[in-house]
Amino acid sequence: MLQFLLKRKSVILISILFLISVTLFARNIERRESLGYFDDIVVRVFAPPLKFSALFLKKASQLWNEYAYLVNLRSENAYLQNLIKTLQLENQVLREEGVENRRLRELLAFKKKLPYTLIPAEIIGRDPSSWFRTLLIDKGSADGVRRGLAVITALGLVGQVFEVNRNTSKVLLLVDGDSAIDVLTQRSRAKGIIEGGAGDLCELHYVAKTEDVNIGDVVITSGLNEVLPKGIVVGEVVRVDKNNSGFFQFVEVKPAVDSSKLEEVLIVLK
Amino acid sequence: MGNCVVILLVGFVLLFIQSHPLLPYAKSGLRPDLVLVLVTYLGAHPGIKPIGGSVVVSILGYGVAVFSGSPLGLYSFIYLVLFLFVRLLRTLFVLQQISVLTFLVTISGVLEGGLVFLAFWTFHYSSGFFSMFNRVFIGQLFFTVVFAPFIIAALQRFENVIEKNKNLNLFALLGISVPLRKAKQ
Repeated sequence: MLQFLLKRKSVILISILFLISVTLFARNIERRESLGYFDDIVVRVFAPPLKFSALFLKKASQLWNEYAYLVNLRSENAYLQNLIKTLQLENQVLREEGVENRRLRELLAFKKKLPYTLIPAEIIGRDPSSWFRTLLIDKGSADGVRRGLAVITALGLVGQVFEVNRNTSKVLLLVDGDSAIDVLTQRSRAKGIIEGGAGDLCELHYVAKTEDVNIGDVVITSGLNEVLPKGIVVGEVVRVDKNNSGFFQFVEVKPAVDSSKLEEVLIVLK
Repeated sequence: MGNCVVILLVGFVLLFIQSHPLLPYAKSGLRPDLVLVLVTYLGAHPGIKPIGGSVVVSILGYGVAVFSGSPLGLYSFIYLVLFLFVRLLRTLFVLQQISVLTFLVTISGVLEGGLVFLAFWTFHYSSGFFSMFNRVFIGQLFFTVVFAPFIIAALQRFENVIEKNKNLNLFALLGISVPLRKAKQ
């Protein structure tokens, strides 16, 4: 028996490797909540060089833009000097109006505050596989990041955190096929679920044909799942088709944020 | 063992390049599968043993999954299949020229797409899957094939350098004095 096994050790070992990989795949086919111990070690080893090289390339690119493309600098400088003088005059007028504005707001007891806490994060890696659309950011559980938190920029929603490590996290982009977020249109309050599509557009599903949705409507988060805050801009409706079969109209949404150009994001902490 | 470690390091460097957020192809959302090129190269290499090679490509697949949104095990499975497939071809054909290896990478890329399709069709079907597959498959294959000859040439050059210097004591190169083990009688 032993001789038989030793003669076929290659086949047996390769079969074991197949079994392990298929088992891992079958168990992890739904998104993982947190990385395992070994995943944690791999990410901890490779995240710092990724972060460092991302920073280095970013600085090099900035240096190139600042010093290598200085054409017509003198004339541009003179133009800017004149512009500064004009703006300074405007600034003085606006400053006075600002003071008046503040005074009136205080009179009306108007309070303005940010509804949630934000932490900035750098993008240190993108999904090495083209089949999935995720980002690796440099904030993790040590910074208070949890699964499901919204990731945004000043323009709108980028995605959701779906895996958290101690010092890094993975963000599932809005345009990924597995992304599904409850939203509504800002104008008509038509509800639906936005899912990632084929290209850079998303599809708004489960919008009844009786709902009033037009091209140009802004789509925002509905806040129904209690994790994503309400009112974050998701995108703009670019196509509506009510003539298709079924109960729901076909709505295509262009995300507000172009994820291919991102370098930093903000994580919304509750 | 030492060769496996070097191969793994090369694999992780390629993975690092593949994942980098600021490289030009990152903007398109499509990126070349450089690790696939390495897996194909290993499969075609006469000096790589089946067990060692299988373990290495499984670990590389695991590494891709750690940095990717893909489920753990998917790429381990895919790279293992591709490695064994190329090994099978090696018993029938001579696979050492860059052009032949590049063609082999193309076939591996098609197979990889097919395996991903099969895995998702079977376990994780979603409504947008077909359109996503159409968008990604051709683009990724194109980028991978474009980069493949350069990666293969670099790997062959690296292998030649390692081969030429294999008799050198690495520690001596670094200026570190280490007592050598006595040869067994």
